[in-house]
Amino acid sequence: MSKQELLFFFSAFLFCSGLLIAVTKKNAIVVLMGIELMLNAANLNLALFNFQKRGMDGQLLALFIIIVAVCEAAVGIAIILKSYHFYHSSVLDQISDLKEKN
Amino acid sequence: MTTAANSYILWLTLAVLGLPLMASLSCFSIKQKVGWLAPLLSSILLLIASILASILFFQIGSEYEVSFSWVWFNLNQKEIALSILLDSKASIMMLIVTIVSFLVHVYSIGYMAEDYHQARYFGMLAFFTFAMIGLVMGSNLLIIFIFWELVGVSSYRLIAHDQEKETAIKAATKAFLLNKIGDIGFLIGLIILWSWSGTLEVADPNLISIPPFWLATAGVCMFIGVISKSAQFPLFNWLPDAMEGPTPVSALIHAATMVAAGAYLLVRIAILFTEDVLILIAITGAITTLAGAVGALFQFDIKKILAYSTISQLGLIVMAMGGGAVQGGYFHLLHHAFFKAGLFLGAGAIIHALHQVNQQSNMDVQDIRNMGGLRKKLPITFISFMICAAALSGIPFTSGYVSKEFILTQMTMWAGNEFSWRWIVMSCTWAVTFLTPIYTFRLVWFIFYRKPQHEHNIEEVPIIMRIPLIVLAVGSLAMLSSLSPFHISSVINVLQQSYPSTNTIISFVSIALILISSAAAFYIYKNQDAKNQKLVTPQYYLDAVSNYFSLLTLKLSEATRWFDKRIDFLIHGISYFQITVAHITGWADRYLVDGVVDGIAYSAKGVGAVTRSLANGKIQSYLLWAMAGLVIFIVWILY
Repeated sequence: MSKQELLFFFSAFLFCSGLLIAVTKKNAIVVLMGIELMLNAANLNLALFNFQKRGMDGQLLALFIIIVAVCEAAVGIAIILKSYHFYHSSVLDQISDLKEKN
Repeated sequence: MTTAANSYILWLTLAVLGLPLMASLSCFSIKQKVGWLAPLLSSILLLIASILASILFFQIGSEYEVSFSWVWFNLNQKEIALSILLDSKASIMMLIVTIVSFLVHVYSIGYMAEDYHQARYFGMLAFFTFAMIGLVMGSNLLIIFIFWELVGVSSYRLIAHDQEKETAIKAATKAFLLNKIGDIGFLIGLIILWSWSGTLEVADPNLISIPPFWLATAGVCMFIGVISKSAQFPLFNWLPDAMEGPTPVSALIHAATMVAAGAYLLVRIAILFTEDVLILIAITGAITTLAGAVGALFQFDIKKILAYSTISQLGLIVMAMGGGAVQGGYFHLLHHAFFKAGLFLGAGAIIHALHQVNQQSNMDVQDIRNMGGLRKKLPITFISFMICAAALSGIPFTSGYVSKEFILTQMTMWAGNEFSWRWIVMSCTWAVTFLTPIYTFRLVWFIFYRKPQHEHNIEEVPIIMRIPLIVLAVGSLAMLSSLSPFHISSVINVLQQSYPSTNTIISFVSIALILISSAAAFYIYKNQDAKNQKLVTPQYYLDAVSNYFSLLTLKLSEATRWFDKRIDFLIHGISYFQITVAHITGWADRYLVDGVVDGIAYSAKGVGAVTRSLANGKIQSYLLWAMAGLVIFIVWILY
């Protein structure tokens, strides 16, 4: 197994663990952390693919994603803060207003 | 005639028609508490009607013919009109009907004084008169038919006036049913005439411009109507039975309304009858007149004798109309109205007087064997009865003599000198002229002259019953309708337009015949002991025939009932089958059709529930499903 392949598996591992965290964890901030993990897995993938192809496209795109992730994290944390004020909780199971009222 | 005179006559006519109807309606609406008003009211209205009818008669006279007509309804572009045709014959008939009806009303005040249902009785009496007047003045055969039926219905109600008497109800039913046979004939005749000619106006010449066969058929059908209504052979048995009704009703039925309707119709639609039909009419009349006369000879019930004599006289009239003596027959019909009403009212007076005395004993007060020697006790009744009886037997100086001689002369001339079947009919006329005095004499002898059978303190009937008797007796004298110092000229004009040149021989022969038969009757009945005589009821096996027919009808109805049951069985089977099928389809509907619909709805509901459960408001599950969708998408892209 080459070093690159190993890194691909690592990226997959990162994505899966991020997804697992995002899906299973109770606290919204930890879910946000899971999402960051998944984004990092994507970034790693982009950087790895850039090796196979001459140029800087993948790495630049990874940089953009890092910036977007920063913005997303900022916005996400702001939303969590706001909803914490509203619901007095950051546990996602208790925040289910998206569901139809019945 | 001018329009003004026309409308004057129209109002008179409608008044004569409307007054009896008004009397009838007011009698029916009167309360039982003031029931005594009904006789007075209807008598007064009938008096006004008869006065108006006499004015009308003198207005119409012998020359004029007035007709009024209003469109009633249109049928297939042909109109049925409410039409009135007043000629001299109609107007004199109206006069006779109203006068006789008025007298019967007055008489009934006394006769029915103890009856509880007076209002009903007088109402029906007035309605009877109304129906007859409508029949007389009507010119459309449909109108005549309607009034014809009304006459039948009211006679039914009147015969069955004593509703406690079972015989009365049976007699009324018999009269009604036998009349229905004639009504069917009348109706078929109407249908034939309407379908061929498209008109029902008796004065319309189109009426008879139809194929001769159908004209003859229609004539025969109409004559069947006349047979039942005027009690001709073979449908006359209802008339003696109808004696169960109150006596004044019998007087009205026999004189002016019921039986006269048939004979009047013969005159009204005389144009319809072809030669062949006239032969049938003459022969039917001849049989009837002999059967009636012989029947009268063997009766002991005073009313039944008179009933059979009516049959005989009506047979004579019908025979005369079928033969060459239409005027004579009509003349006799009018005279007959007077003297027969007089005879019946006289008989009613005798019955009434005897009944007053014999209320306790159960003696049959109508049986002439129980009478006798009433001459001295009921003088007024005796005189009026004698005059009417003389008119019935045709003794000179009475009205019956004039018209009977008229008929005899015309019939003899009609028969001609050569021997033919006409001679047989003519000889019937003479035979009846011979027989009538015999049974009349027998009747009078038994009632008035014979030794009294029982000792009674009989009193003369009340004055209100005597007046009609006197009026009718005076009317039965010849002086009003034949040339005499007191005659009414327009009556003569109407009736004797074609008075035959008097044949002196015929007059002498008929007078001689009448006198001989009277003498013969005197010798026969002078010493006869009536007590041993058996009561013979000559029904001429007609009742047996009708019984047979009713038996046949019963059998037929049983057969149809059996057949009906089979049909019912079939129908039941079909309905059971249908119910089973309905149950099956109901089941299928509930479980299959509805099941499919319910199943779809249920599955949609399930799918909805499943999909709804995805949107549970938990952001993480949304994420999970989004990821799952992405995985599916990628797998789909890659492979």
